[in-house]
Amino acid sequence: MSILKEFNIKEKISISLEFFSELVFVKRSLYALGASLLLSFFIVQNSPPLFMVSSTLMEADTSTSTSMGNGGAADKLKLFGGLTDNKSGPAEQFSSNMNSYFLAQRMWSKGWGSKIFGNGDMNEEYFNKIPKRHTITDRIGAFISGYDLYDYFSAYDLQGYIKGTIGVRQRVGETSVIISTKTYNKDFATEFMNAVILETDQYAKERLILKSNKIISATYSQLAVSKNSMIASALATTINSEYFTIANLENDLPHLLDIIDPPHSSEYPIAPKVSAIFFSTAIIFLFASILFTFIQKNKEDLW
Amino acid sequence: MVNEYFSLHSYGGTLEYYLFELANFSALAFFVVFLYKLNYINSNSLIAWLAIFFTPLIINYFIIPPSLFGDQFQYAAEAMSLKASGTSAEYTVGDRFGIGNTVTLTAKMLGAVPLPNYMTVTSLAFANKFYLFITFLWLKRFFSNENEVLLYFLIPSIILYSSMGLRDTLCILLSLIFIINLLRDRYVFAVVFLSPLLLLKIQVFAVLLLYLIARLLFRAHKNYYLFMLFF
Repeated sequence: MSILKEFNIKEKISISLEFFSELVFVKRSLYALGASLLLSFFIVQNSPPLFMVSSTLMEADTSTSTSMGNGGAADKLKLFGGLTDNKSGPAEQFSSNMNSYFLAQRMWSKGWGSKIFGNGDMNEEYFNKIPKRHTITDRIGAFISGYDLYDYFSAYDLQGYIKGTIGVRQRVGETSVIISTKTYNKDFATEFMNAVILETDQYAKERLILKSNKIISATYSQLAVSKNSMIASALATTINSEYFTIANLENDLPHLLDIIDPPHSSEYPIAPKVSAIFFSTAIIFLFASILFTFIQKNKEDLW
Repeated sequence: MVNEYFSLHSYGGTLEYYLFELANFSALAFFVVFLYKLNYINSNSLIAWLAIFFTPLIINYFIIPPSLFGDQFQYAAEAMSLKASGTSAEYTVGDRFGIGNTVTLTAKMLGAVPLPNYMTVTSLAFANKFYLFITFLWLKRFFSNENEVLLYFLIPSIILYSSMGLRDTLCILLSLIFIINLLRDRYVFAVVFLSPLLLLKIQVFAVLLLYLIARLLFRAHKNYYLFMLFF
């Protein structure tokens, strides 16, 4: 009882009721809610829907050398030196290749730069000369500091675009990889992501074929001068292994990652979140109305 | 409202971001105005706390990019994942001492604050501010002059760290409440407030546990002999 007396609950309740009747349940609050509705409609109307485009890929089996391993010297060489073994998994390799300049260059030569930075004209003369606009501050900065700004878009810009918009993530302990992007133009993003996935895989394959061919030619030259039978045997196994790798790569099958879900867009946009916008705007306007009335009535106490 | 797409969309610095976070500010500011009317706080506290509550809007994104304190995204993603689906975010892994995860506990504690929106990283900063304010209300009971207590909450580092969705504010407040309860010989409350620190910040927990042991078991605060024995 003493706590209740000390707290003076009756007085607090009467002050609370007075507070709500004076500041909250007033006509101004209704006007504020009306204004918030109008603003919310305006915001929602002017917010283009942002969609999520994603694709699920699964790590493909890239261990081509296992079937060729004979437990001999070549395997030992691989164990200690690693001629073709790569420490990073297919997902990391895919991510690195996807973000590389060489992939961007390949995509650029196929006209994707024109679709992203220009008007979509596939004429090579056009898309190699897409003018690049710079802000006034960038121009002034370049003028004062004395460096040149690029006049045209290049594959480096496309590389930056791919890096900045397409994310690759893999859950710990899982083999599936999710590739996603946020976009206002879901059809274009779906098409672009599909092209990036296929081109990345193709680029990875071609790079490995090139690497294997180089290893073969270098190993042949070593084999020609080798006098030790054990080393000659190891070199021959390496050559066989590289030929096997080439045979595995020269087909239409995916190399690093298999496509489980092709790129597709979310049905509903991820932004704007209409209900949250209406709710938040209502709270802000209601509080603004309360604060305004509160300051009007308590001006003397506050200052 | 919960941002169920948080792992996908952070609303960073957009108009929607400011709308969602202004709504959170409004809710907390309303609470302060209401307490002022109930005569719980004086006019200095009212103005100071309105300003303190506004700081997350100025600091995150506007002055400091939130990526500078990247942990915020982890806590925010976890809080929103727990609120939206009841399960942890996909990259929240690990279980310390088999009793839980630091990120999950922080997200649960910050997510327990009744805010209108949990849409961005800054929502957790407002949750921190709420805890800070509740601690202020509790702490001012021990002082005759409310303005003296208010000054402690105007320390720049406290304002900065509580303006972000980090666990540091929770660690500071739990330590503070633990020490005050310890000094007042309320050991059960002290232990209750100490225990979350085992997961939140084990080094702080270890140091504070020494205080508890020294006081409770060795009665080191009573005489120098026991104090020396403790060491």
